[in-house]
Formats: sequence, C-alpha cells, structure tokens
Amino acid sequence: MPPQKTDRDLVEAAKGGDSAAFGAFVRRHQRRVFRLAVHLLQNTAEAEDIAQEAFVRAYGALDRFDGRSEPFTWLYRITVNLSLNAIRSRKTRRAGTTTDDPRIEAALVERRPSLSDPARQVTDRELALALCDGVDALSATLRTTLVLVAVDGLSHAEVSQVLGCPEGTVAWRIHEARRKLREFLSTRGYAADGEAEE
Amino acid sequence: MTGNHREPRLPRGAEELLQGWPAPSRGALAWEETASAVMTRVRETTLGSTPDDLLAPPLPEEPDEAGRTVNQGAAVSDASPANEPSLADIARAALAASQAATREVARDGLIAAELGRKLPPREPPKATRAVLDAAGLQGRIVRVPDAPAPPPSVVKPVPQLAEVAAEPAPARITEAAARSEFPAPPSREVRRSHAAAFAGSALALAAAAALYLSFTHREAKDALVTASAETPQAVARREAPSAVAQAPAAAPGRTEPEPSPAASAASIDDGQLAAAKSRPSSVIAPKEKSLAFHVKKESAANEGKLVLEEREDPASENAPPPAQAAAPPPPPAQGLVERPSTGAVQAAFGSVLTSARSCLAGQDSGPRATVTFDGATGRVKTVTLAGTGAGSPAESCVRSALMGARLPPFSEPTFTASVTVRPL
Repeated sequence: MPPQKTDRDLVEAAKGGDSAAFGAFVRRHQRRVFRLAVHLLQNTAEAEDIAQEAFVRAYGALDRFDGRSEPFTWLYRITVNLSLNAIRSRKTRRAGTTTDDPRIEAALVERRPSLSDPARQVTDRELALALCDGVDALSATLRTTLVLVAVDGLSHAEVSQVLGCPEGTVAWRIHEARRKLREFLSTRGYAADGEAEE
Repeated sequence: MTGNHREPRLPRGAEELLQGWPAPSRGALAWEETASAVMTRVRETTLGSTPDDLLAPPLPEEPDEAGRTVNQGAAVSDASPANEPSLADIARAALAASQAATREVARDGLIAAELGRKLPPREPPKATRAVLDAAGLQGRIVRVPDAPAPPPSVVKPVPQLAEVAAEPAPARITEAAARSEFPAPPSREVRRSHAAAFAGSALALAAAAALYLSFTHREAKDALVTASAETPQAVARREAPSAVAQAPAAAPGRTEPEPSPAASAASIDDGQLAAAKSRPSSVIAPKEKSLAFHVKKESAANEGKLVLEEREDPASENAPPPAQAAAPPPPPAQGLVERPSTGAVQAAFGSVLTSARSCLAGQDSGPRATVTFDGATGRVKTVTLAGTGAGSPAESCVRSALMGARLPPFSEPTFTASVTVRPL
C-alpha cells in the first residue's frame, strides 16, 4: 500500500492541475470543515453550503498558498471568514438556542448511554442547551477561538495560524472564553466542580 | 491541545461535552455526494478567482484584548502587551536597523565588557534604543541591580566611543578580559604555543612507542650502540621505523644500561624533535647506505638535553673493531619467533590490501598474490601475481601496494603467504 500523501503533497499536485489530488484533499477534510461551520453557524444547511464554498474558494486561491502554514489551517481560515460573513449577512439575530439546534442533536447522539435513561437524557439536553447558549453569548472572536481549540482540538499554534494572531493571544482568548462560559453556566445552576485555578 | 490546567474549568458535564463536540452525523454516501458537488464546482473555478479578503486574518481583537495575553502554561498576565513580539519580529527589527546602529551596539558591548560590570548600568545608546523600540522591547528589559559602585577615585572614566574605536581591538579585548570576571579566551600566540607543545608531546609519545617496539623486536639484531667518554650517543638504524636513543654515559669505557624508552623520549627536547620531524622525508627514507642518529650534547645552553644528529652509520661503513664496540651485538636469532603468526600476516596484508584492491577498481576479479617476506627485515622480497588480474595494467599497482606489507622480523630466512586481491 503506497504511503498516504500529505496535505502539502495534495495541494502541490492540485496547483499543478491534478484535480484528483484536490478531491482527495476535500474528502480528507470535509468532515472537520463541516463541523467547524456547524458550530459557528448553528445551522446544518448553512454549514453545508459554507463547507462547499470553502473548498471552492480554497481552490480558487491555490496560487496564493505559499506553504508557510499547513494547508488545513489555511482552509480553516477561509471557512471562518466565510462563516463570519454569513453571520453578518443574516437579517435577524438568533434569540437563543432551540431544541432543533444541530449541535444539540449531535451531542445527544454522541451520548448514547443517556438515551436509555430518559431522566439523564433530559439533563444532558438541558446542559447542552445551556452550553450552546453560553457559547453563543460569547463574542465572535472568543467563540471562534474556543470552537477551534476546545471543540476541534487544534493547538494554540495552529489556531494562531488560522486566526493570524500570536499564541499568547489565543491562550488569553481561551482563558477569557472559559471564564465567561463558566460564569454563564453558574447563572443556569451549573457550578464548577472545583476551583477555577488548579 | 485544549489549553492548560490553569484555565477556568467548566462543570464536569459541560467540559466533557465541549471536548470533541461532534457535528451532526451524516452517512458516507452523503459525504461522497458533497465531495462530488465540490469537485463539480471546482472544475468550473479558475485559480486566482478567490478574493484576498477571504485569506486575511478573520477576527477583530477583543475590546479588552490589548495589553492582555497568556503565556503558554502560565496564568493571565496583565502586564505584557497583547501583540508581544515574537523572536522573529525581534530579529527582523534588528535587521531593519542600520549598520551604524549595529556597530554602536557592538561598541557598547565592548565597553560593557571592558568595564567588567563595575559601573552602574546606563541607558543604552540611542541606536540601541531604536532597535529595542522597533522590537517593542524598550522598557521591558529588567535590569538586575549591580553591585555597589566603587568609589569615584577607583572608577575609570567611561571611554568615549571614538577612543574605543581608535584603540586596537585586540588590546581592548585583552584589557577588558583582564578586568572581567570571566576567563579570557587564549590569545593566538598562546594557542600557537599550545599547538606546538601538543605536537611535541605527540612526537615524544610516538618516539617512545617506536623505541619500545624497537627494543622489543630488534634489540638483539639491530642494536647499534656506540658509547663515548664525553659524548652520549643514541643510535637508530635507518631501516628501523624509529630511532634508538641511549642515555648519557656516566663512565668512560663502560657500557651503560639502556634507559627505559619513556625516559629517553622524555629527555629529548621537543623543539629539536619537531625540527627533526620537519626535515624532508627523503632524508628519513630508507637508503642503501645506512645512517644512524647519534645523540649529541649540543652546547652549554642545551646541557642536559639530547640532540639527534644524523650522520653516516659507522656500523655499516667504518665499523669499529670488536674491542671498541661498546656492547657486542646480541645473537641475531635471539628473541625472534621462528615464523610470523597468522595474526601478524593478516595485519600485514590488512594494512596494504585496501590500496591493492583499489588498483582493481572496475574489474570483476583480481589476481592471487604470493608474497615472500624476508625474515631478517620483515619486508617483502617478492610478489608474484597469478590469475585473472595478472598481466593487466593494474598489476604493477597491486604489486607496489603489496610491497608495502611489513612483518616483524622472524628467524627463518623467508616466509611466503598468499592472498587473493579482489576489486573494491
């Protein structure tokens, strides 16, 4: 079995006109891009459109990818920009998280054990709703940084490449987002288990 | 990476939910359809069609973000600026500064070294401040308080930059190093003398090793020692790979016990040995005419030191009568092995086989060599080549290489060994 090509290999091949290589790049990252878009947009259909658009835009900008960063961080930046543009262009702001929020569905499906326990299912749903409300209450900057780090699992260095800011700024944003989120959850009756500072 | 342990922790359930929060699940077919749709659109897309604003950093700063940042693995710090310059920024700023500024920084460093940190810290020069300002570091450098300044009478005034520049650099550095708390680097002359001493020591060690071998293997056969009442002599045979030295004789007409090799080597002046080593190799190369090194007391200034003097070997041309000989030569066969050991033969061939094989580079096979060694000298007498490589242009090359093999002397007249020389 031949060794799997790296993202850089695929992007370089796509730059040279190899559309199959870009297809492999799309198939490799479409799930993560979609998840990022869902958490930023809170809407599945919109997230699908943005994810597709992100790949198309990335292809259109291949000539400007200089290889200084990882291709996926470059793709993430395009996704975040497109998502923020979509949020700005909305005519109405969301009043709050509803039960049909795709994030709630995803969280509950992931927690299958709770499905057999109706009481716990209700508890989990309420917690997910509160968490979604708390995340949505954050500014776009803090929310995006938190999603990239906590939800998507990127390192601070990778997030600093996506967002174009120093790692220390990423760390501060994460700290601030968590502090505000904890305060928000405490108003909903979810107190932290221990001290904030370990 | 999801942050460090000092970040505010969320309630347990919320923390678990946040980590790796999934997207709505979709089937593999749905993903494939999405990928196909993307590729359909991609085929209609041209490179360069994406506007630049989609590639720009996406998010604005937080309102209270300025002046706040978190170092990795540290708590929140309000003191450091948000846009803390990275090392790359600092390097770029330093490069952007003019050459004059760089020189001034270097001079400032020289002055600081010269003063040996005995003066209270002073503000960096304007150019240095410019560099620090460009890097965003001005005001962030923590100055460690120095020791109390000495009385003004002791303090040497700070030299002007022009004076420092006009002064020869080595002198400044030496003077500064003398006052510094740190050890000064060795000067070029000191390093040179160290190198000479090292070379001399190495030569002395080599001489000691050679003497040891000489005494071990050739003492009985090759010792050629002449003693003189006034002049201590050390004799070395030209065929031997080393010189044989002898300590000064204490009494005339008396055969002195041979000194230990180490003692002989240690008593030889390093400089003289270096001079002897620097002689042309043709002088040291074996000749038909036998020469010997004699120990000579050079002058009063060199009294106590042994000097090697090359002159024709009296043993070969004007051999003294047996009565004048300081010591009768030992029986030739005494202490010699009857024939060389297998290991000695292998070692002898091993030292020359690589060069012999290199003669056959590009060939498929090589000749079989029959080498005959002379028992008295251990040298090769004849080389006979047979086989595929024989008669080829490389034959003389192989023969010449094999002629360089050496064995310790042995008592039998000759010894013959065979070896197959294969190409590299």
